[in-house]
Amino acid sequence: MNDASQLEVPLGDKVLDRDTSGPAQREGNSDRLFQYGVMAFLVILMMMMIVPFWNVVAVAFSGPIASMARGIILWPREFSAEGFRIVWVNLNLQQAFINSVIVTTIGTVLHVALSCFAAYVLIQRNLPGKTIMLVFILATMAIPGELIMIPLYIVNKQLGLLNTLWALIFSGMISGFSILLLRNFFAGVPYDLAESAKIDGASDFRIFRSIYLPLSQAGIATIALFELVSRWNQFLPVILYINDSSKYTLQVALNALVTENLGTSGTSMVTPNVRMAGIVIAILPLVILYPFMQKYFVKGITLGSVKE
Amino acid sequence: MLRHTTRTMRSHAWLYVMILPVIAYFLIFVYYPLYQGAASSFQEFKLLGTAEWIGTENYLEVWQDGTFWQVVKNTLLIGGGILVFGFFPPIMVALALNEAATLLFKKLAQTTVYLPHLFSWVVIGGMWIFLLSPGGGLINELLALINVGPVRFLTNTTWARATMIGLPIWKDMGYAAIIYLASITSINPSLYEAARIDGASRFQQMYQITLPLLKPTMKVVFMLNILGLLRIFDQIFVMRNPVVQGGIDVIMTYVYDMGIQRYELGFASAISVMVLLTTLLLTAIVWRITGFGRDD
Amino acid sequence: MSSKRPFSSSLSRRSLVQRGSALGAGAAVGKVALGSAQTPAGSPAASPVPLTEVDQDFLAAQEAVIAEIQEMGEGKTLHILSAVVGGKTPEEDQLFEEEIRRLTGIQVELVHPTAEYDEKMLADLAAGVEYDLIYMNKNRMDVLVDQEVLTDLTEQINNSAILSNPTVIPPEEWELIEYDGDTFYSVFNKFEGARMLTVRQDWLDQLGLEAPKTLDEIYDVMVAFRDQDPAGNGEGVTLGLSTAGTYDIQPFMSSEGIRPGYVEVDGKRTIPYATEAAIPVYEWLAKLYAEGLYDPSFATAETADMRNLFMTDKVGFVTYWDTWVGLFNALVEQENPGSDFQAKGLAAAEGPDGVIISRGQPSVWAIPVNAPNAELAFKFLEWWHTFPGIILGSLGILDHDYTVEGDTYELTEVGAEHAMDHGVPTPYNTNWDNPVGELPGLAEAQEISVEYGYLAQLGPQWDAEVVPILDENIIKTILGDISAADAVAAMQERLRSEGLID
Repeated sequence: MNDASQLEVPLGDKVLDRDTSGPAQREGNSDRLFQYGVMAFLVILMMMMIVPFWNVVAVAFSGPIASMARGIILWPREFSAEGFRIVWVNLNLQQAFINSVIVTTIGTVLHVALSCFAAYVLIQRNLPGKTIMLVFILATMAIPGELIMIPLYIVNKQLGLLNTLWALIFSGMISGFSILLLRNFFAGVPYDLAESAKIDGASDFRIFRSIYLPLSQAGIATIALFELVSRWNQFLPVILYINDSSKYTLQVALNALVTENLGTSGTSMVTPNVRMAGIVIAILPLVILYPFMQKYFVKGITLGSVKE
Repeated sequence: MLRHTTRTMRSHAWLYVMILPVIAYFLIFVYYPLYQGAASSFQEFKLLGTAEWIGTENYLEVWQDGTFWQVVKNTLLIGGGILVFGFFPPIMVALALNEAATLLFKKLAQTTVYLPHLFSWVVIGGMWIFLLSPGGGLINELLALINVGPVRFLTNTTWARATMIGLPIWKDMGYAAIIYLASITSINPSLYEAARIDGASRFQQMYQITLPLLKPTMKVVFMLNILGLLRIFDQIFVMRNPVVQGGIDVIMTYVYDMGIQRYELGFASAISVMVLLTTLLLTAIVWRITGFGRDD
Repeated sequence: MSSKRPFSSSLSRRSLVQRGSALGAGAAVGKVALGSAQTPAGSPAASPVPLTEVDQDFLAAQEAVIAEIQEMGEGKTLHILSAVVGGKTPEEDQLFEEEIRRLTGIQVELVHPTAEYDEKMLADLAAGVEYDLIYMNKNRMDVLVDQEVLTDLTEQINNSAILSNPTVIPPEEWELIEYDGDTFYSVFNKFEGARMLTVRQDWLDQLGLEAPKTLDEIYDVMVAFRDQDPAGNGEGVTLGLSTAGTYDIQPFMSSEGIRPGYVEVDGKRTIPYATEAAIPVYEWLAKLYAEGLYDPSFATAETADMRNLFMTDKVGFVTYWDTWVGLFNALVEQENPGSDFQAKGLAAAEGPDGVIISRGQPSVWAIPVNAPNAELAFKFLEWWHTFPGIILGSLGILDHDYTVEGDTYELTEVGAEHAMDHGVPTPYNTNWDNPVGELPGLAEAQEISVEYGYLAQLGPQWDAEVVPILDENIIKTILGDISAADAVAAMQERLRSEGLID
């Protein structure tokens, strides 16, 4: 601790990069201990996260009656893929899946692109009106959804968007959250780089494209990931805006099979294995996609660009 | 001066074009509905036909409503708890992920930590009601091993509040951690290299380089959390039950009950408007204190 | 056609009670919602119960309605917002629309949200989206009547040969949805059953016990279930009772003659659950909890949890809908053929006023005042109570849910999975007999519903304001946090201070 406080870290860019590979070569005892601590922490964390998820999978693969037993199931009871079969046979998931992909893809692309534009504008120094725009955008995040639910519905009706996938794409197409976050990442890009490019005669848009975008990949990947997940899980807007079941997205279509209308003397009943199978199907695409997003978080992107 | 401004604006015409769609979107899909919503807080709501203007009656009613003040108190307790106790865990997670020994392990850990965020609160809530059940739930079974319990996590007001604070922290930890991790990724590796040459240990590097450089991100995340403070809804809505409802119902669940269930839309809108104004005020204070938005 | 006969006062539910025999074992509707692959159509080969004693006025009126709706509906579209009525999947919803068209000639646009029905209805109504028919329960109707959104249907109902026929809808039932003593804004969707104490009859048989009739006897049986372990769970493990919160403790309240909802005493609104008369029952429930006979998670349990415990041999008694007595049996038989499992509806603990159990709140169809095709919509409601309408609401869609050969109706695999419930598992119409047959044990249970079912007077504030106060205190006293007397005092005080009782 003591020697740590005496350590002077040079913060300039002038430091030569001699070694970019993983952990330090001169690993001391304290480093190893530190490593073990980190590992232990992460393993415990992973267990905490994985148990509930694993429970869902195990129930999904259990038999109908067996899946009803109370308690945490960590291994399928009376192994059966019946839940998946029921979901599969009963629902035309293909159309719903396509709708989900359309809405998610277009929505996410637009979201990320427009957020990047806005974030870039908002990091400009000495741009007239910047603060007003920042407040204008930031304030949208404080608005409770319930307050604008019905007026927003009416806006969609007036624009003729009801019962179209566009209503879903427009719903939450831009968020102050993403803009704010991206702005933070863009602010981390050395301003000098932009300045020198400007002196070389580069246009605003060119600086944006060839400096900010490449240097903020991790940030862009982050908001893309967030948007992807929330788009995919979009629920209430689909219920509100879509009447025609051929335009349902996966989440809502699956829900037709996994919820019951409670409180009346009806006879519908869904066993937990079917419900959980629905959940597994719903999030599977995200789980598969996630690792591909992750590669943008890999270290060293900034370095590569700066060195050029 | 004015001419100077105009000239600057013209030279940056492209920038205004870039942000135009965003401004337009917010005007149509947020601010116009907001105006309508805010207007309804001054009206006596009617499903069909024109609503009647009744001035500030709805606000007075809210102000004199005992339940409203109870849910405000609950919101501050639960929301404040999440704000305070939920701030450091994601940073720790991000730092730990960054220090993970092998890339494979890091990837694995990162994916897992993010998992709960892929599930909706309906799923997560249902699962935790199960896990926390006093009759055979996993947590109480574990506590029984050390002769504690059974603890009534969800049917005792104090425990239920604690649970409502703990669960969102658990669920969203990986989410915020990713924001931090992305920031860490952007830190110039040459800084670490220099430190290594000077003989700094991994821990020292983390403590003295990474952490200070995360400060701007911490500000952003804190700001985001403040904006969400009064709007907690999902976990309460999914996990509340009659016994503890008086102790854990928050402002937005009350808005839901009044607006959607009881069609008291004017009353509900009045509360929403108050939430909005308070949030803006809070944000402005935090903005000033943290020096957020300045060009740093 | 005109059937202005005096309304008979007794509620004859022959159609519900006199069948049952059409089904041999529990195999008929064996596929209920679980849908495994084995049996394509487990329906009896026997011909349907002959339609005896069908009211001639009804038949004439039915014929007229079927002809009229064809004429009126040609080229017209009905916009319907529905929660429980329709297909079980988005795809089946489309078939449902086509089936209505086939049967009536009406083009239907069925909006059938898979969740968040309240939000959808509110948003649509507020945005001025036009519907011809909207499904809702009584509580929601109270609010919408208050908002003056619904069309007054009184005259049309009185003039309707179908709806005013007492064999189609018993006259005293109409009182349930009457406003100001003489005004109607809606027409029933289906007959709502009652919730009753349901026991594992096979366990009783195994231990040689009689069906319990009083709280003490029920307690003794629970102890026997736990200690003598007919379930094979191990001694001291089997639970006596499981409920979802306080839903539904009425079968026990019955022992003190306590009625659910509001009861008027000397012109004052009282809530019997919040009176001292209820103290012994709360103490009894608290005793169950303290002795580990009550599901320890009942306070946070959902009805599904409770059902699951019952079907997986973990608990001996539940309190639930009459229809479920039959479903429990069919579901377990389906999954474990030859299982001893037998659920039986026991009604409730007897008290000074006999047996009192809760009937379900009415579910209805209403026509909003801005409906573009209000007349046709009403005709559709009449049709909904004719045989073709009932078959659509129960069995479902021809050649999808069921097939017909001559007089024989058979459920398809899909139809069996859908458990003869497309919104109307049990219709009001006493002239109708389910041609496929019914679930094992159901007829008996429904007889109990009809005999003892009591419809609580709830009013618009019940769900949102009264229930939270009752629930909080009742659960606390069962958990042992406060004494029953304190709970009653607390309920009295809060209800009074909020102006919910006089």
